Amino acid sequence: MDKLGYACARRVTEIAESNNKVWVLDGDLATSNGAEIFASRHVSRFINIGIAEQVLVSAAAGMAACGLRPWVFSFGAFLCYRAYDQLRVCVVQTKLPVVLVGSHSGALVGRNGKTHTTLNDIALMATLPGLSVWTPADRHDAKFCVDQIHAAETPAYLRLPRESVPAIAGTPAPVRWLGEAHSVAIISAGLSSHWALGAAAILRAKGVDVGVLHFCQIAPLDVERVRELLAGVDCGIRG
Amino acid sequence: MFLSSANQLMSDCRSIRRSIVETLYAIGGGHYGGALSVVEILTVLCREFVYAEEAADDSRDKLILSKGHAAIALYATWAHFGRLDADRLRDYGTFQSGLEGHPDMTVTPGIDFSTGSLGQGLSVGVGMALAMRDTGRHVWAVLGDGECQEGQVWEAAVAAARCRIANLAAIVDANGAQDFGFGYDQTIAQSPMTALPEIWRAFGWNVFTVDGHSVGELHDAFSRARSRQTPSKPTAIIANTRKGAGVDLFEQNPNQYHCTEITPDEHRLAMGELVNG
Repeated sequence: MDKLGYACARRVTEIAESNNKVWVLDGDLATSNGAEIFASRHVSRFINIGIAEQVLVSAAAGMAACGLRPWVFSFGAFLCYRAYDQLRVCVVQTKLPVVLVGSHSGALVGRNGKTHTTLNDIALMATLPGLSVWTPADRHDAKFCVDQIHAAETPAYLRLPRESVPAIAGTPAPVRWLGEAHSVAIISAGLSSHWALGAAAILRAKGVDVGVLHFCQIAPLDVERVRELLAGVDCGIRG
Repeated sequence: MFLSSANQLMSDCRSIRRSIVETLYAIGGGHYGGALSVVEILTVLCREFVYAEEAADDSRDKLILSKGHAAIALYATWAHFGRLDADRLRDYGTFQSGLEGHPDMTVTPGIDFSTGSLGQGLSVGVGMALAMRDTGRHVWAVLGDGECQEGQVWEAAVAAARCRIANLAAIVDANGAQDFGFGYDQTIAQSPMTALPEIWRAFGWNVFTVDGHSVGELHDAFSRARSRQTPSKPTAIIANTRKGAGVDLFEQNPNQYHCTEITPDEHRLAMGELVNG
């Protein structure tokens, strides 16, 4: 079982071994979102900006404008909602390669309650042009996302659950069937792909030919690829 | 030590003011007040510090015009010092001209960061100063006093002081007015911010208060900021200015001429003052 914030931080820390332009900025949640992994290894390239998401995101953009590759760690709720204008102006409009790593995203935020949920973050983030949105379901996905984002050098939002998740079989991809393709698709992303796998297993035991189409990347969507993957589906979303 | 004489810089400022007023009038109006108040600040910064030595954009000091509505003042300063073809000012603020109404780094080479949504430039400066902290290069963020009402300014102020970022300067163009203002109720404090130097000092910054229209005082404060005499602190320079400086009509009505269109008669009056003043 893995906390995906830690899985992402571990991979960013590895990349930073051979790339001294990689920095991590934290919004004072490093022991919850995983950034402590980076902090303990690359102390001179880690900064806890503090409980101040607006300067956090804008300062990351300033670093990126100087050629650095900043990864911003916090909770999804605070990055998306507290710093949306900073993201819009300093990151999206400038196209600078700032990455927001939002842990504790979605509805399941444990005892933290509703202030910490992000129920419309995907809608907010996916409508920002040029910002990619990633929803990994396990540690392999998380590493894949970090590598893809690092290579792309464009703005990105990594939407991570608070809950620990088990590994899923197969090779990560922006969109893929978890296991075999079936004639019925449950479409899911991130943490919910684990629930989808459970639901599909129950339904298959009842004789329904159903599988899970998992989205590791939500925006931008490779529509043609989704069409290909849905070619044999006669129930579900049609392209 | 001045590169230009103070008299030359003052002459430069007069020329830049004329250019601002002519350009804004030609396009049908704009931010007269805040563009004219920041002229000496930008002139001294550009001529004596940021572009003092010929250097590529990625190896010189950084300049962030956080009060982005004064973009025309920066373009006019560039044009005056030959960093921009003066003819291009005619296209300022028009579709696809490359000189946006607020600075846009994606269309205008040399703009160090895009601004326009107030309060964000100093935070960007925090990131740049961190990225450049071992290089000897400095980051200059020019803010308005009205802009200092934005909470993000103070997030940045806290972060810069706590991180001991000494290669960062915030220059506040304290022209004492903002857009609509508070004139409808004289019981309300009329200045955008009360006690600016005390606030910046309380946030842990090194603070200089200067006459923002004195090229000598500005030069001295910028030199002291850049020499990092207080190595563990960022520097705030509160530059007291007059909104619409150089044109009596604007100075007497700072809210009205924050952003507006002016009549042909008003334009003739303004240019008369700037030519003869």
